[in-house]
Amino acid sequence: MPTIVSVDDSTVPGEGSSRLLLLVSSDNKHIVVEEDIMSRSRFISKQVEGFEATSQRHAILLPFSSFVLNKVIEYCSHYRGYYLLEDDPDAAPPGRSPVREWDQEFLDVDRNMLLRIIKAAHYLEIKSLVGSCARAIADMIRGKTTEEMREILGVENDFTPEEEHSPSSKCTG
Amino acid sequence: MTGQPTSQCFHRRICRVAPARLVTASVPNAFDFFSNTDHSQLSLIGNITLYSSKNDHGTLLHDEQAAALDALRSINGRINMAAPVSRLPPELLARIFAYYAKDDMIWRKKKPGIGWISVTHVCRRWRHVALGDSRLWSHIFLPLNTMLLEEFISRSKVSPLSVSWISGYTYSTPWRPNPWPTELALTSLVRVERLHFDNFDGDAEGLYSLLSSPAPILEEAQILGLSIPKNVFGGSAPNLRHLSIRESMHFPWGSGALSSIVSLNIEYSLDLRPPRPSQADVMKALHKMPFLEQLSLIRCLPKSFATALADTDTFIPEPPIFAPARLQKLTLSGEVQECIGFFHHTSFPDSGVRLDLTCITLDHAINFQPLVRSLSVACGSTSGPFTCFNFEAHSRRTFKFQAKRASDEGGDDDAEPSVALNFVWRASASDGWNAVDLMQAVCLALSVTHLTDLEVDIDEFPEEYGGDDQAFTPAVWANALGPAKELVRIAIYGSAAHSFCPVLLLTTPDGHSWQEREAMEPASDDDQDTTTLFFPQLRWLSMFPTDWMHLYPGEDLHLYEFLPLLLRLRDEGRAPRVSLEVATCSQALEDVLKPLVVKLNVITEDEDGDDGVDSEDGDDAVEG
Repeated sequence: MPTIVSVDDSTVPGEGSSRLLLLVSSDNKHIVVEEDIMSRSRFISKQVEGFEATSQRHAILLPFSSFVLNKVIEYCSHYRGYYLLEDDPDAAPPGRSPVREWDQEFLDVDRNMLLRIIKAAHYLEIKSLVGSCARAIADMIRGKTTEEMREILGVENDFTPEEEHSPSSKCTG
Repeated sequence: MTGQPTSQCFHRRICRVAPARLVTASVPNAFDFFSNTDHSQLSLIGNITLYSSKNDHGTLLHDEQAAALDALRSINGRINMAAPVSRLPPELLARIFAYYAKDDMIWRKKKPGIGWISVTHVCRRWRHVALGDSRLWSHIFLPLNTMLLEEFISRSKVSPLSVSWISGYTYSTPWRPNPWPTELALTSLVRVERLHFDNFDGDAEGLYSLLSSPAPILEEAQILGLSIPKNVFGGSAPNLRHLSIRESMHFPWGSGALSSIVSLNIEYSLDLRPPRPSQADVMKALHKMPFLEQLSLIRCLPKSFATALADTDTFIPEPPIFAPARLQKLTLSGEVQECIGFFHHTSFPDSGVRLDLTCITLDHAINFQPLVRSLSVACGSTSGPFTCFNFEAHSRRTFKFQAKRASDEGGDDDAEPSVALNFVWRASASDGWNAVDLMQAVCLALSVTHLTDLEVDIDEFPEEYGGDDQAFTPAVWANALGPAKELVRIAIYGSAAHSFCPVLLLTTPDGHSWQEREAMEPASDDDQDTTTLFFPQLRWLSMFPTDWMHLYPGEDLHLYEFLPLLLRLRDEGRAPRVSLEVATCSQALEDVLKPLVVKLNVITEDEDGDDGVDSEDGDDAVEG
């Protein structure tokens, strides 16, 4: 569960035609964003429902940096008001579904940033962004050798000899 | 998350040297040992050889190497734990693998798509996550060797299986090929949710057995080029929603496994020309599919339809037998008479059906009126409920008539067309198609009063209509499209644009319908060119004559004539917000037109003679 702190009324401009939310990043940056923009996040939506129940204004503390949070807000702003087919591999129709063109450009970031974004999207329950990031990462490793995959994602071979020669290791087609 | 690797040989070696000290020192594993700052322990390793005999020297070195490798692996494990990708929760990692696996299967069309399995070789955590996600292993591409097939089935646990046969792929490995599908038919068909067999060239007997077995959770089956047993799925497939049987010699029309079908696609072999089913069999089978939403019957319409309609001009409609209440899309391909027969026995729902119709005939001079009339009967009125219509007639040439939702392809921002008409004539030589009659007849069937999107592409006309630009005279256009008052977008390609220009030029803004104008001012033959049309909703107009040379210089004149109309409408405050796209336009005309339209695109011919697009951004243009 996220940490919710009470904030001063002056901090959060509200009462307008479009409600505003105050998001606080892990580096203590306060970001005010319209509720509509963040409605793609199920996590935020649930939080807002909670606010309505208590009729109090709150800031939502999020466990990632303002840099990451701004990227997520940029994504949500771009797709504001759009219906996006959820990128569930099971639900998606057969056939390759490439990352959308805009998403591809949006996710043209370094590996660590991409991993931070997908983690933040997962936390905020933005399924379409999780899907796009997952596809982007899958594209990064597709067709690569095991060694190349390790290099790309910064992991090392930690198998024991027994594990390396287990039957599953022969399942390479 | 990742446990530290134990090092049996490391322990063995230490025990041999100083068992008492090892127990008291309590070294849990190699990593702890090497990462310990107690140098006395490290020095222990260095001294080991001193206590070893000469014969054991090689063994000890190997043990030492193994210990070092174990320690390295342990350190690698810690590096992995600190890696950013390891901070992803397992479900996210599994999601990434799922995308990799899914696309891998699509990409490797001629090979089983199992290259993604290499993710299980990257590190222990990845393997743990991949092996723990049963859905990853539930997509089985065949043929697989026995070992792999067993691994897939085992790792998929209880997840429903999706089984596909990759045609024409042979393993290069010496492993014994699996006696699929007999084996799976006996053990796992009950778990199969999706079945896809494309030109199966394996164990036919086993496949027959497979397809005859009950399929309790089967939802989708696609089978291409295979014989289907009469008792398909043992007559029991209660969850079967989507069935596609293509290039088949037979379809089990009487099967009891079809009652839940939502989408049915049956396509008989083109080359082998299998015997057609009886009318009774087909209608009886369709009647038992109350949930049918999409139906495609290709080359499998009963011949008896055609023979029963020998005299189509005087046919008496029979009571419909097939009344699919949920039907949304119908695709038929067969001889014209067969299609007519099908419509005679069908009653379409009022909610609207997308129709794709392909008629095959060698009779070039066929009269299409009976077809349109049978459609009208099936629709219950002369205004068909078709939201989309796609008509193709094949003989030595192709005649294509389409209607579709423009919104399917994006469409214009200013409009949300509900019905679109796409008229395409692809003829390389003159022949007997009565294009004008057909267009008028189908317009009637489409209820063109609600037509919003028109696209016409006509390259050549039959000689009997006088060649290029005499078939679709302005009067023909006016007759066909007069009632279409809801047209939002018009695109005219090919030589048809030559005759369509005058129609637009003669457009009057008096608001009278074409019929009203006709009643007020009956047009004589000599007076045809004065027939007027008005499309009050028109927002987009494109005109692209195919032969660029025809444009110079005459077409400009048409645009000049179009200009006064726009100016008058603007003065009256009723100027349409038209986006105009033309094949050519002089600079002077362009300057005048630009402020009058929302957007003006001028397509120019480049130096090589290819079509080039010189787009004028309409942002600065003044709206009318």
